[in-house]
Amino acid sequence: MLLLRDIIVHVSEHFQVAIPSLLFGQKGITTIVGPSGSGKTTILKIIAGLRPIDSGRILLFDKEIHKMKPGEREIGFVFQDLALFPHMTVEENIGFGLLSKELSKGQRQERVSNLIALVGLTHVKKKLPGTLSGGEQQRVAIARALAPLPKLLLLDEPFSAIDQPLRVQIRGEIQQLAQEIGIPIILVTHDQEEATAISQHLVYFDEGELIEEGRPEDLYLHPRKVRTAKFFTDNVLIPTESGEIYCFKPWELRIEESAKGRGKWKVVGSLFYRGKYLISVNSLDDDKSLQVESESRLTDGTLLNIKIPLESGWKIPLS
Amino acid sequence: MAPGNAITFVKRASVLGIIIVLFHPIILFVIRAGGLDLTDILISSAFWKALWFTLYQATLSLLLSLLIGLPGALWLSQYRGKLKPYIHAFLTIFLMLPVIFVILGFISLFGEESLINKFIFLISGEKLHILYSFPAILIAHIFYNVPLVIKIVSRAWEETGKTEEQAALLLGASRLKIFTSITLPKLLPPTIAVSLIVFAFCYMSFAIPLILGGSPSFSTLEVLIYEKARLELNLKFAMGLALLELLVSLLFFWTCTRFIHKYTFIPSHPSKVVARSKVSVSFKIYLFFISLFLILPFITLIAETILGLSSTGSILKTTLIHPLSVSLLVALSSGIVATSLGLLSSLLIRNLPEERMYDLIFFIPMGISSLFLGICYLISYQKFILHGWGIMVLIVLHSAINFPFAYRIIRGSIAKLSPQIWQAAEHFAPKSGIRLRYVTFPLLKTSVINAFLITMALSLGEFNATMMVAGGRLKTIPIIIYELLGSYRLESALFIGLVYTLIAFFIFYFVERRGSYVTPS
Repeated sequence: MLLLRDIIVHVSEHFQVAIPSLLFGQKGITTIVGPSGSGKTTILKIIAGLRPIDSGRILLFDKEIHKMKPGEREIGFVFQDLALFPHMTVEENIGFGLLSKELSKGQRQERVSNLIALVGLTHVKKKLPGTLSGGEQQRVAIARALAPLPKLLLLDEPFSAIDQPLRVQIRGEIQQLAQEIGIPIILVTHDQEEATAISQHLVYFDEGELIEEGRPEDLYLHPRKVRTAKFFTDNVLIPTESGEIYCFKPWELRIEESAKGRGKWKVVGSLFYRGKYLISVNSLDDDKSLQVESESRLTDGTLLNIKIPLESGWKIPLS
Repeated sequence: MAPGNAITFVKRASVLGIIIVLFHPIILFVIRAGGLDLTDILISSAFWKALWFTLYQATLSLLLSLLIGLPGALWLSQYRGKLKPYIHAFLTIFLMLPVIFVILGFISLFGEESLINKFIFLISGEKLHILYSFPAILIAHIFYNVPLVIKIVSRAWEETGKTEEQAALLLGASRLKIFTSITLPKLLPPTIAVSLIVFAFCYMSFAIPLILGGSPSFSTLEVLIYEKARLELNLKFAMGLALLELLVSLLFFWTCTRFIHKYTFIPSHPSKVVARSKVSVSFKIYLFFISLFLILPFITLIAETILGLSSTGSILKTTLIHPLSVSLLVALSSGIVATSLGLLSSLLIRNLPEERMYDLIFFIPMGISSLFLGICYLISYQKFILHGWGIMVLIVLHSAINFPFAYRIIRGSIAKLSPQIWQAAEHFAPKSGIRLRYVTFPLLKTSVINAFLITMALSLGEFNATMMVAGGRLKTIPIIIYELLGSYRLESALFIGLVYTLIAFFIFYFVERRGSYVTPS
């Protein structure tokens, strides 16, 4: 398990990452999610030792690691741009982290062969990274990170450079790998869909601050902070006059069929999304705007009424 | 002090150490020159004549180089044929070709007894009298600078793309408006940038006016500095001149840099231009003549050398062994020193907050004339040179001249790699020995070899600073060529020149065609 305690990192003059306390589980995938520039990658880098901390402590399985050099922390790291060594073959890349270990040549070769088989790259083991596909390069990077038998695996935006169909495949492979290797994985992404799909635990970061953490379904459906709710872009936030904020999903709001052609909301756009239509509407009374799901496309300018079932909505607790 | 801060301190101190080791004579020169009385120089007509001529020939050479080179640049930026990489490799050779060999090419082309002159005499009964005149200086400068204009401007224009023009066209702008408000501002910065380089080269021209000018009225400031320092032994006057030359050039470049910053236009989405399918007849004629102009001196150099081979043998035996050994010793040593320091500096400054500032600092020596650096070393190490340590001074001087080239080559190859490569190496290998052996050296091997070859080749051809520091005492290959020319032993000079030109040709071609590692995407 990994514990970050009282961490402060001054990233620039106007931006710092501050984590009072954050505990990562012993197994499974934890995803640090947040908008671009929120400090997510900085957290991975301070865990890996690639960036120094200004104050605080980092403990990995009760051992203080924040004063150790990156290569001594027993942490595997998959870089955002993979950072494969262009002059080394696939097996040399994977075996690089073993050169510093006290292993015989035979032991090293055996471990590299096992990993090559695990990630399914036997057919390209003698090739240079530049000749591989994006997915193959990704697997080399993962195998290289796993070779020194790390206690924790970190992945920085692992899907950012991959096409959509391959993303789903790699996502599945990482989930399978997490079960096979049995070590905790911490992953960073700015993609809300990936974050909720892949992880058992979600940590939401914004502007260098830890905003909220919990199960993905809890953060998605029942956020406790407005900032978290806003991050999931399909959330519809409705403030009430008493100052409370309700959080709905577009499918929880209903268009009142009888009111079509008259009403307090005006259609300003329709978007076909996963078999249904997301209708954007503006209030005629104030500057409110929201999205609601519909079975059919509606013409811009159509007036309608929307039923907001406050009683069944998720009320974000007042902080 | 925290460990991180201590490492940064050591890195900064080491970089400063490298700067001091190589460029301390400049610092000493500035300190000494601070107390100089420049009145004598400012009232001397020689200074004003040389300054006027320097600026005049530099401006004229620049205008003619642009006039001849820009159409070629436009053509090359649109050309997509198989010959393109070879054309670029050929043009690169000119950027590195030592000036003394360009002069040899010109002498073989326009000399009184050259093949072309014999041919013209056969036809017309007259001979061309281009050598040792003002046109000779201009033609040599154009020969040197046209390839530079074509190479740099065509590369920049190639990357400019047409996206902005297409956007303006869709927005209803007229063709004239698009050209004046979009195309021209886009093409201008690389043109101005190359103009600055060409002007600087001509402003600091030494060997071409010294040898091809043939008259004191064609003395540039650099020639005057050399004459005062080495022929009249008036070091104080030479120092003052060097200081004034530096001040004028700094003022000029400061003004130009401000201009460039004000008008620089960076295209939002660089893209490749569409290749032009047809070339007009007039353009084909232009291309034929420009190719002939650039190739002819090499051809005549080879032809004249072969024809004069029978009379070169005995002279070569007696004159070549010593300068060849001196040149090789200086080139190998300074190549090793410049490349090692270039590699060390590139690695030291990586990740320092002021990384970009060092790029600028290490770029400055490229803008200072080698003759100026030579006079700084001469003043600082006069006694050493007189007591027989000239070769050591020459090695350090050549290292200082060539260090910026080595630094830029190695630094360029580091910049092509993802910064995360180094982080990955650090992450997976805690021992620096393993990182150096398996990552740093293999990745930089190509650029280090390239840097060594180029600095060695540049050192072999270095003339200006060597003349200033060691002319008359130590004989390198370019100096022996200069002396052979002075004593009318043209065949021997041509033979040595050809051998070197062929070596330089293969080195630069080899370097241009070799790639370095780029992070896979």
